[in-house]
Amino acid sequence: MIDALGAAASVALSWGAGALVVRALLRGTSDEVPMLAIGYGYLCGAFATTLAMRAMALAQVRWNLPSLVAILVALGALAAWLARRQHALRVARSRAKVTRLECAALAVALLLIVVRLAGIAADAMVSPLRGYDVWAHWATKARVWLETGTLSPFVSAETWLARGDPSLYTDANPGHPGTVPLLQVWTGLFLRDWSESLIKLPWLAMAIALACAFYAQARLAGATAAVAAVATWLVMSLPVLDGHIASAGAADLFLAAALGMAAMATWRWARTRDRRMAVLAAMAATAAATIKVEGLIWLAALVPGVVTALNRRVGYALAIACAAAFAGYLMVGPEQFPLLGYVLLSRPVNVTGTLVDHVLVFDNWHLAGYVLVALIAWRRRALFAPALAPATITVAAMAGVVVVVFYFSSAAGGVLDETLVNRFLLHAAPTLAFYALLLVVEALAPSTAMASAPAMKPADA
Amino acid sequence: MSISAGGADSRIIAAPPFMANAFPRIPLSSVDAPSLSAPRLAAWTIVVIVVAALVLALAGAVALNAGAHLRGTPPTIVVPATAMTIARGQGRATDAGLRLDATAPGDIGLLSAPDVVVDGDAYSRITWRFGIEPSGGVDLAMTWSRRDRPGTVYSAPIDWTRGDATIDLTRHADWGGAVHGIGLAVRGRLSAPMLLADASLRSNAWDATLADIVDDWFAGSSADGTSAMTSMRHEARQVAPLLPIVAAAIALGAGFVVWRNRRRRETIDAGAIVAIVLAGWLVLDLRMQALLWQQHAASWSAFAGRTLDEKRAAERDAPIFSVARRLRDAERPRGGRVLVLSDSPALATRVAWFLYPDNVWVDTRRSSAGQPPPLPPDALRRGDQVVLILKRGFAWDAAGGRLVWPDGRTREARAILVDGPDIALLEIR
Repeated sequence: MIDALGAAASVALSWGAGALVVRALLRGTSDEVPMLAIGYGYLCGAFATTLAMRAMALAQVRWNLPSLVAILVALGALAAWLARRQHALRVARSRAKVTRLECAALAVALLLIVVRLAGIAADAMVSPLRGYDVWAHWATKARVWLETGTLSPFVSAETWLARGDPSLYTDANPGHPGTVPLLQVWTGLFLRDWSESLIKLPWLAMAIALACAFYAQARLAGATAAVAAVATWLVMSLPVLDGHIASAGAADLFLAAALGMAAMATWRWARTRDRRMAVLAAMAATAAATIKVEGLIWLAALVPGVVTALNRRVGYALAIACAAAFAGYLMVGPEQFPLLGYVLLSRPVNVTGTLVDHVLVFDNWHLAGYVLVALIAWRRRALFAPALAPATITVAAMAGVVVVVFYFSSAAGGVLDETLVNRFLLHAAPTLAFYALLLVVEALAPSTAMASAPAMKPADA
Repeated sequence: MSISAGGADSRIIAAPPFMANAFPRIPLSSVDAPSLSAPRLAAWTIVVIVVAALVLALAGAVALNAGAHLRGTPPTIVVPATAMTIARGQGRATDAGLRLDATAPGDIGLLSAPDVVVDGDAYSRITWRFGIEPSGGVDLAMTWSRRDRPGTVYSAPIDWTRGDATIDLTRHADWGGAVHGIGLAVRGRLSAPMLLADASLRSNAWDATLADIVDDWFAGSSADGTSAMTSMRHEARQVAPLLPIVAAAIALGAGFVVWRNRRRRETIDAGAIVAIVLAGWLVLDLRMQALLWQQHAASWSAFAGRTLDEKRAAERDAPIFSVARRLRDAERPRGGRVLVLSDSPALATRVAWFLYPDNVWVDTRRSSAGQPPPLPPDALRRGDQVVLILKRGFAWDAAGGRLVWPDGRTREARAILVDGPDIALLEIR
């Protein structure tokens, strides 16, 4: 019981400090919404925790609980003090009537989310680490670092053999970044013994944070509470996402959440042009880049959307240039080209059968594949309207990433043997879900002028 | 939520001049959020449409997967192990079934029921039920002969990873007519004996097909709770997975709404279509909740209130942990390097995990020319500990106190733990 309280305290400390930082960041803006601070707060706090641990390791100071707790408390206190110096924006109560149908939808969605997460939490908190990647790629580092109290280096099997240095460690994937194992170490520091169950708590926290952030961003995008809650349920009900919460230990859920939060904040910034939302997006993007190597690939997909937000014509040109560059590679490039841990291929591997099976036949994503295609077809004339263009270009770039990685890279083997297909798609799932929501919300709100406002620049005409 | 529009809002949306005109600057949050239009159709009408569409889609799935008969009599033909023989490989009949101890040279085993005669057109879904599952790393295939084509043996691979082996031959071009003799082929090395309890041939009549479809939906892939469901890949073995059926039902329901609106010259009832989509999603989600809660209950039963070692001992691969635990707890110097060598990388990685936080090495070296070269003796240093587990070629020479490489090279070593030819923990001197 004492260990469970310790694990909860580890998450609560990071979460609390992060929420205060986000609140301070957004203080005085229309985006200062408690759910947003809660949602982004955990990602921010968890990332700050790992930065503090990295800094201590860099300073060759062995991790100890009092120091790390003090750093987080100081961070939270500083954020709270900064927030107090600014006035909050007055928020008016909504004048919209909430129908009984909306109340019922909100209640049912909330109930379904709570039941789902409660079951997963009960499962994850008693079971040991499950799944090859979990105990071969990730927890190995946490186990060693918790023991040594610092960031002991992990090297390749060849280097380990050749150097013979007992301070060097290795595992099945020594190249993975340390953020996720550091979160396991952080929780582990609160426990009396190594617990494969309780170190999973950050995954549950990240799932709740993702739900809060998604809901808050949906509300800011113009969805009613009922629509936002139902949309949040749809995301949290995705079986692959739930599977990754239940089999906590791999980095994919964290990357999906960080990338989703980065994309949502970026799109929000594209509308409000509030630089503080851009800071939030940058924080989430930086976290995503330190979670998994694939984070860099996904972040590259956000760039055309950002450029489109700044200038649509340049954004479109960039997207077309990227597509043309890849087409050029296919025509004249080498057969194989190493890139970010993958090998780019100039000849495609046909993975369509596996992809269709896992998205449209097996119940990995419920109806998400069908619904996204239907929504894009329904809203095809509005996809490049000013309000949606940055998001559409982002999603198009993400689709491009999926096509390149699945069909034109060494990862095709992982798609065909079904170890990669859902894991990689999971990274993009929250982002795509929010894009689908935007398509609906924009359709419901033609009068909000975002889609129909006259273009002010020739480039937007 | 609505936020009062005013000076403050104007301030926060101010943008640098170069981007000032890129987008109109009216924040969405300054207006009341739009309300999703409620369906014009009554709730009960939508429920009726959804149920009717689901029934129609299910009927379509049955029609696509069933044979010619409406009722299967009998629904299942069971072939007991007593009617089977071991055609290739070593083993024997036991009270619990047919036990295969080892495959024949060439790593092929064949368990055959040569006298079975069955109407292949009516019985096309076959399940091989195990008393003891084959060990991992083997492939299974179904073999059969046909009376109308004597002398020819047909085979089809079985998509199997664990549990009973099921194959649906309804659409297989060579399955049908009078099937005379069936068999289960095992390809690969068995690291432990397997026990075949029986084989059952399931009718593809409409009633049996409907029952199979619905049963499949609630048979989770990890109902024993020792692994979390991370993919619904097991649905590949189902007669008709639920998702396409629900998707078809939604298409039918939405199509009906659109047809009805057009016929009455009304605008499309988008609210009703959204309600139908959400109802379909809910059907899928409730099924998933049911599967997950089966898993959660099994996890609690297997792991709750236990120590970490007890949890590991309750997992599916408990025998591996049992070996790793002996290695971990053996009296040996701590703080040195531990190299785990095995012909099975998965086995080595799993054993290594149980040995962390020791400084463990598993052979993950990559080579462009296939298998990496064998670990050279001079790569080992004095004090290194070497775990040999199901590693062919390497041997512990107890008399000489040496670890012997396949090519005859040696290193002096001390035995810390040796258990037969398959398991050894040695310290290099």
